[in-house]
Amino acid sequence: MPYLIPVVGLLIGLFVGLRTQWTLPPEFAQYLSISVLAALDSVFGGVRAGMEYEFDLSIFVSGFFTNILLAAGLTYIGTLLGVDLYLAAVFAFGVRLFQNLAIIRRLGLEQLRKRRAVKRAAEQKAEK
Amino acid sequence: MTDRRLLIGVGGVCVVLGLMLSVQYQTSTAAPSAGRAALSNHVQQLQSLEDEQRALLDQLSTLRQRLSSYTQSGDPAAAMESELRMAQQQAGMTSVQGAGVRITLSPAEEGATVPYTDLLNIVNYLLAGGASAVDVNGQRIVATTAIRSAGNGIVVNNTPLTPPYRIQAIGDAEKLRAAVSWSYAPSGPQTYFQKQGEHFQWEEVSDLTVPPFTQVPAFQQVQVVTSADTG
Repeated sequence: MPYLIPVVGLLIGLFVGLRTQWTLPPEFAQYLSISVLAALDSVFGGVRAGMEYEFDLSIFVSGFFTNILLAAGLTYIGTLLGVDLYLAAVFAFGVRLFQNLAIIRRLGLEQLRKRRAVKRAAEQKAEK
Repeated sequence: MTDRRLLIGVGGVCVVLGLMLSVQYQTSTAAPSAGRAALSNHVQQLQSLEDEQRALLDQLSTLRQRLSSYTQSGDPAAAMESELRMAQQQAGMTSVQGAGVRITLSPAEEGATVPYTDLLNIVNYLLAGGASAVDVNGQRIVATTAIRSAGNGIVVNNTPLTPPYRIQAIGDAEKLRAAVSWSYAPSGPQTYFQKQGEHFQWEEVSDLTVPPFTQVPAFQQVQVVTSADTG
């Protein structure tokens, strides 16, 4: 049941967003794209933490929102200074995203193997 | 309790993520069309500017050619000199040659005079007929020439002349003849050719020499207007 929470939440968000047909003016599209990247990073970080049995709700929620705000703020400061700081955000979040995905994949494979090993052990026990 | 916090926290975060993703998707799919419209606008602007630039380049090259024609033919001084020569020629300061006509006006009878209006009329007609250079007894007709009567004679360029008056005009003989054939009388058709004979002699000459204006033109109380609007 707890596994369904994120899926249902995501579906609700997508449904509402697509239903309302919200779009942002092009000036703000950049901030939103960086924010989306930060949010994805936080969510995958949360998934990874959950698989490592280290999930902390406060860290997850606060990280999610502060990452979004920091990424957008950094981009804004970058445009003020004329420095493409959003590239730094893209790079940092992108790298972390891929790392988290890799770790998630590895953890998933390990869990799958463990389950199979347990299953096999159970079958062997049953044969004996 | 923990379940409820998890529900609110993770669920809320996921709702926000879903919202952001959908808005971002819609923005990024909507943005290109707006961007494309702006792009085509810019492309049009670019094309019109390129056309303008091409026109300006053409203008520049023609002006350059003119400039080089001034400077390349030896030196600027030579170009200025040729221009000065042209101006002198047009002002009647040089002797000129060419085909034209020669008209001789003489008194109708002994002791009579030639009316100065006849001379004035004929010179006027010749100029109207496109004569390039005209002289009367060696007095070149220029912009400041006056033809007036003085006593029994006629004064041209403030120089008294004596009959017969020989008018030379360089120009197309046919056109000059047509011009001089205009009636001079206000009350009916009367031309100088009807007076042909002793009084009016018409001669077409293939090689005329018209002398220059020999006096020094006195341009007093005159200032050149240099403002651009005089054209």
